Amino acid sequence: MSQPQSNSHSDNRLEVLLAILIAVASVMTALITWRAFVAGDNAGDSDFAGIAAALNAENTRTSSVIRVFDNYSAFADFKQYSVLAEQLAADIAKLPADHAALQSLQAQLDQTLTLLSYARERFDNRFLTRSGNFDFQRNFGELFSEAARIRDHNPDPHFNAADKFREKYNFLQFAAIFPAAGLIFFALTEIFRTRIRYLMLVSGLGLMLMGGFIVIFVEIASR
Amino acid sequence: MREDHFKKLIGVLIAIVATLIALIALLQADSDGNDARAARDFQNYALGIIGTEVNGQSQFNFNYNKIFDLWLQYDKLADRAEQDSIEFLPRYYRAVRDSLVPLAPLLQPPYFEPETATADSNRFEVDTYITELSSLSERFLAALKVREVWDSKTNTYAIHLTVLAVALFLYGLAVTVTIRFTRILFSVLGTVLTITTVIWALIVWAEPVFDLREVPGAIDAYVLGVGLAYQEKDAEAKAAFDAAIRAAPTYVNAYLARARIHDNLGNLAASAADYEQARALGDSSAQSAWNLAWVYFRLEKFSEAAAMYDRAIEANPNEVWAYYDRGLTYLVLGDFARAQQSYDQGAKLAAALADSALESRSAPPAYLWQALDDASLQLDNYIDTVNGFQDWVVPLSSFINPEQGEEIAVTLSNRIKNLSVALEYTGKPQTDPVEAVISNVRISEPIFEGDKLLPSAPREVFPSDTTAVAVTLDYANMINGQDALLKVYLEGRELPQYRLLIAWNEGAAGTTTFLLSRDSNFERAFESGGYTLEFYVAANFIAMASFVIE
Repeated sequence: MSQPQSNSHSDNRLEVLLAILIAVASVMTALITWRAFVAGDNAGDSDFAGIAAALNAENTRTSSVIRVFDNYSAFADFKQYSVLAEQLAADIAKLPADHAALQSLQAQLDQTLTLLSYARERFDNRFLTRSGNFDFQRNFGELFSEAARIRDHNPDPHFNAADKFREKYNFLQFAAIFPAAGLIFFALTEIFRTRIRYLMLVSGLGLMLMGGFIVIFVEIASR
Repeated sequence: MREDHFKKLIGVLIAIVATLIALIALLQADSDGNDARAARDFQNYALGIIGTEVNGQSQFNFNYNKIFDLWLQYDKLADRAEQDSIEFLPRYYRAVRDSLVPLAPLLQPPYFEPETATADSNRFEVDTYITELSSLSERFLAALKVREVWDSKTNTYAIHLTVLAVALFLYGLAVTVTIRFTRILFSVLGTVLTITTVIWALIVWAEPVFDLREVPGAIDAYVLGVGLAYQEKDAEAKAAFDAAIRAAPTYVNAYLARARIHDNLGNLAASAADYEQARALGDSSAQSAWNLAWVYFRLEKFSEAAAMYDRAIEANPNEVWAYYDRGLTYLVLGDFARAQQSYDQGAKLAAALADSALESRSAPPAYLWQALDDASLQLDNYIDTVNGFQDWVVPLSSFINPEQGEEIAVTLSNRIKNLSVALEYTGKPQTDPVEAVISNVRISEPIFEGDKLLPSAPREVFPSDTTAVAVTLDYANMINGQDALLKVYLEGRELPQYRLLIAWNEGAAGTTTFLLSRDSNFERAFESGGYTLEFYVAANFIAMASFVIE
């Protein structure tokens, strides 16, 4: 009589242990799913931030290009009036004082100088190079970097972060399979009455722990 | 089976389903991640498309409309000053003109030829932004399609998870109910649902996700073709599209682009084949249907053309062109009732579009006028073909009952012309009929006596250096204050710069002569080709005349 009582006692303890393990595996699965959800949410937020930065960058690029072409256009006016004024001034200097065309050339030079002065005011002389050309790239670069100081213009770090969060999300989803698979072995432990039940128990426990280790590894690696 | 064994079996099944749920959740997570990545890509490409277009246009406008235009102006001023022997000025203008050259890449090789004063603006546009723009557009579309597939997979996995949850519920019920039949039914049903779901999930997982961006050379070849086509290098463009299709045999846009090139090169059968292939691969746009229909029409496959116009109208019921082109097809087929019906539908839609624009205080869409002009042009072509005046895209021998067709075509053409002018100037499709008559329109070489324009012998053909013609016409029943409109067409396309709208003030009847020229100084010769003049009074088409510049 004492033998069956001992077996029954051992079975009861195993039943209790199994119930605890099943509960732990279930809670573990839920926790991993929660962590995965948080990672997925962060990935979405990073994507959004990346798109916002890309929008800022494109917006600034477009408005900067338009402004630089405005300046460049004023420079083109400046250039043509400069050349015309130089030509006129050179001829006026060479002509005798009683030349018939002198008065009309002087009048044309005066008009050209007025237009030159107006064109000169329409662009920033900081962008004139030593050779007298307009530094388009510098003007564009200054406008762009000025805007970049106020708003985020670099989407890449956000997109990289989103990819990392998404990777983490996938790993955590993968990790959730282990405690869930552990539940199969715990259920099999209930079915088998031979020693194989202990193998099932250990396998279930191993899978559960494996899931736990993966989660810890992923969480540490992602910090 | 003993009850405790049954319960334990169900316990194992529940654990298996739980694991399957975890596995499918992993697949869904992966699919959702790819979906989000593709969505991010196409949003990024969309931003790039807008930016590239605006920046490219700014660059082109500066180079072409500012610097090249200034170069031309100074070049012409220098020539004119030289012709007029004005001292100093030719040298000044040439110096300024030459100073502009370093400012614009368009005025550099390989785009610019100063000897002929021409700039290859198409090539410049292709190099500046069109290539990048079409590359971004193709990547945008590819990312959009990738996203659609991943999105569909994600949603399908969600269905799988729901079904597995139902299976779990059934297993749970099987343990709680006491009736043997019911518990077996629930457990069998749960198992069937689980197996079906697993098979379904495997099929979804195995479905490949085609990403055109990952096909080596496909988009690059296509983009090259777009650039070449933009420069009207059709043979080279065709070779590029061939390469794109070789790289990706399901590349719909490449088939559509090659179809257009085949059409340009006159290979109508090949063009139709490419359009058909694009549609077989999933393109269902109104544009491809409409283009294919027009190719069928020219191949004299009129029934297929009419059916394809139906597809175009199904895809976009607001395509005015499609109704008119379908009407034309029925006209050629001799099905006059259907032709009339299709033209009426087109007119109704045109009036509705103009009315809606009027209500919202905006301008009607520009394509409306093009559609109306094109519709009357094609009817005029039909009429001219019946009368033997010209060779059209299809021969007279393919027309059924052309004599009756011509009468109907004349009525329809006049109606469309009236509709176009009435909608444009009154916003309403109907106008009151007028008694006005314009007749005996004569085109002649203008001869002046002082400032007075004298009538001369009418002509039909003028030399290529003609800068002005005199138009003389007789009129009757006119009312002062009525709107009188002249529209001028070159080879069937209206030249809006010649359009003349006046309030009539020359009395009820008489003869009048006016000048038609390209510019007020009579310096620029007319472009070569066939000109048609249309006269309207109070939005009613009254008369027409034509002449040819050699």
